[in-house]
Amino acid sequence: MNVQTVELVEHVALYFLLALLVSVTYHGLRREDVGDIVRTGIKRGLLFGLVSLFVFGVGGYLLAQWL
Amino acid sequence: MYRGALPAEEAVEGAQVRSVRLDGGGSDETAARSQGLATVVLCVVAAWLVPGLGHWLLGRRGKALLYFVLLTFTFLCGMWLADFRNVRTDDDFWLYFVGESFLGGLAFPALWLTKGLELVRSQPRLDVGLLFSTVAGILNVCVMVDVYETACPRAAPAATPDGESIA
Repeated sequence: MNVQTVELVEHVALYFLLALLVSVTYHGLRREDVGDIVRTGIKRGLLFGLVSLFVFGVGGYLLAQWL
Repeated sequence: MYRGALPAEEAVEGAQVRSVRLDGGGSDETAARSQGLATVVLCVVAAWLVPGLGHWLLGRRGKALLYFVLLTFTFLCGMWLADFRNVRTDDDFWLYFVGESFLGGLAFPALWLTKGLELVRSQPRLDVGLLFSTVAGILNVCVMVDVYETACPRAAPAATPDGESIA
């Protein structure tokens, strides 16, 4: 892997980590059971990360092609 | 389980019981109500000082540990990513410090401990580190609001004699 690929993978991993941390904390605000908080937070955080990565990744790629 | 699903009377009664315990085990309900504000302020300040401490004082031990681990990890991860140079007030960093300062027990010691560190070389992950530590601080605002909501649950809207809600 070249340097750019390593940096891209690193940034994507950090993005997912931050999305998971924020998601678990956010879902803890409305729930009491810790197991439920962690499960729901991870599930929705991963979903948010994947969807936003797809939207911004594909959208950014298409925008770059168009420009 | 959603807190909103709990009957309001039950939730308020639970908060009063917790207030009594925190204030030294008094049994008078009036005394518990009069000391409620002090307890709430203490818990919110504790949550500002150490993430999760407010929940711990309110008896929510599981959530307290969860928030402590999550927010401390996020803040320290940000510091590690930025090579311990992200908590500063000079140049354009003061705006980020406003966000970080909501995690008072970590941000202010970090500011004092790392004040001698200079930006002598390019920091490739400085922006990412700033983002992590600032997000940790802003998330602690949500945690402090949760402490307040746990200590003072909102009462259910008043109902008319016909059984309809006024609000």
